[in-house]
Amino acid sequence: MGMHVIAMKRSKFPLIAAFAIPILGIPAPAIAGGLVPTASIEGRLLAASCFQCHSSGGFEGITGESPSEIISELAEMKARTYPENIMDLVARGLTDSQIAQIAAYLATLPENGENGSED
Amino acid sequence: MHTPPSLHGMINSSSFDRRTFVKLLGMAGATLAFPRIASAVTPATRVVIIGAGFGGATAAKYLALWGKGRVQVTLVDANPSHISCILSNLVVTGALGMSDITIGLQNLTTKYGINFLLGRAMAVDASSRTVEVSTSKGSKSLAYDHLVLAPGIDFITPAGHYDPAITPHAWVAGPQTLQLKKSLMAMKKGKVFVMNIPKAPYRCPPGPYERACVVADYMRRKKLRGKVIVLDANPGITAEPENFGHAFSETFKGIVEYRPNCQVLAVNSAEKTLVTSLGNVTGNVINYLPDMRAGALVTAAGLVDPSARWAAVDPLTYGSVRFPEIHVIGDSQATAQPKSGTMANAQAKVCADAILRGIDGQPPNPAPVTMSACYSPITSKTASWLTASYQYDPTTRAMKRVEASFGEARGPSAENYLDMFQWANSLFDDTFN
Repeated sequence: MGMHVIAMKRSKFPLIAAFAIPILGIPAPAIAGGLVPTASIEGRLLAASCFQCHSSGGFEGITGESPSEIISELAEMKARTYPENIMDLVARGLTDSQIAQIAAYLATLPENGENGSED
Repeated sequence: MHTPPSLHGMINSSSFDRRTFVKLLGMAGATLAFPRIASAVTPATRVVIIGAGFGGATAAKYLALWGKGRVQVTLVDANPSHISCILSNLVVTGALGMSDITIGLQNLTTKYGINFLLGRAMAVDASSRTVEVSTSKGSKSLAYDHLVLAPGIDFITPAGHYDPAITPHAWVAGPQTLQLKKSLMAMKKGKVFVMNIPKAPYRCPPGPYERACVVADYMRRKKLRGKVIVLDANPGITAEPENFGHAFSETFKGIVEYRPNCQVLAVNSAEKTLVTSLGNVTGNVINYLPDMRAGALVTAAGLVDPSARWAAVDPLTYGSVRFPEIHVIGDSQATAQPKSGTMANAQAKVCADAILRGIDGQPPNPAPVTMSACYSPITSKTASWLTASYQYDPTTRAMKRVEASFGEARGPSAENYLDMFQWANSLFDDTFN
């Protein structure tokens, strides 16, 4: 069916990235003061917008990760000085608190193995 | 030639990740019985949704998904499938077929227990809270507690002798798409394709520029040595000015002639002539895009101010300022958010959430966020994208664009072209599956 190139290269080592940042001297994004809120209907509504692009047949799956992994990835995209791709801009559309709410809600969803993979 | 993934196959495949996660969450989408689940104490709230496009279908699905047995959702559309404007320009050029953009509505009923009524909504009676629907079995009156209107757009007939059968707009996907395709495929060498862009706001800001590009690309590939004349009523390119500007002036140099600040004053379809503020323009194919306004049903329901074209709503609920229990989402509503399928999908979720909170006696979410991310083909192999997010501003009580989130792709690319199909697949799945 042809090769699909997924534009957004998902970090394979999100936890390492989260810890590596201070070592490199780049301030770690301080989202929610390190606290992850409880999953809520506010988080559910915010996360609903993700599924426009991250539903079946779409880009990378966004379920099955811990809240800190999700926060770290979105924070990294948001912090880029020069946005490289569409997600960098999308991340900038969210406040830090909203990112934390999204992460808290997404973390309650079961891992979705097929979502976003090449097919 | 790159064969795009089978969208039709993906939509209709039986194993869906969303269904799995829905069941695991106990949301029992597939087991909602209809017509109504009522608890012993509270009957289900009746929500009627008119229009099963990106706005209406998303609203129906998320109301049923999040509302479980607390809502009885009835979705009305004149067609059993939705034909998507998104990707339709690729049908015009022959890159895709109609089946790739035709999306069945049956999953909405089988997975979420939504009642689907095939028919055309004719009139809303706000005082009795009913909507009259014309069906093959006669007129049916639907009672509602909440009504969601998502009819898309209506066209304003121009002066002159206008006939969309001769000068198709193809701005509602379906027969008009094939009509325009047929006209394009019949173009001989050295002929002229003329299109106009109405004054903003209109449905799909990048859409007309995208169409000009893929038509110019088609002409170039077929070595037609033709011209694409783009008459823009706006002072400049309204979406992706860098990408489309570059496409017009460089990629399609010698093919596309872009004329801004050009208003179409009258249309003579049979004579293939547009009377404009910059003189008469004639061509072999005239793709006239009329000025647009809210769907006729919305206007007839008294939701549009006489001096306006769109229905004023509260962006926290999309409830009409006149009747708060009548919600208008998608193209027909008057906020400054772009009129796109992705935006309709986003608004539908805010609307569904607000309705459910209302049922639970809660105020609406005070800080809704919407976003619109869209890919546009530029050639048969490349595409670009644009994105914008909106946050609620309580001072102005309006959705305000987050400037840091607003932008376009650095340039068209083959990677974007492939991503475009993933984006569309996902959007179709999120909306209709």
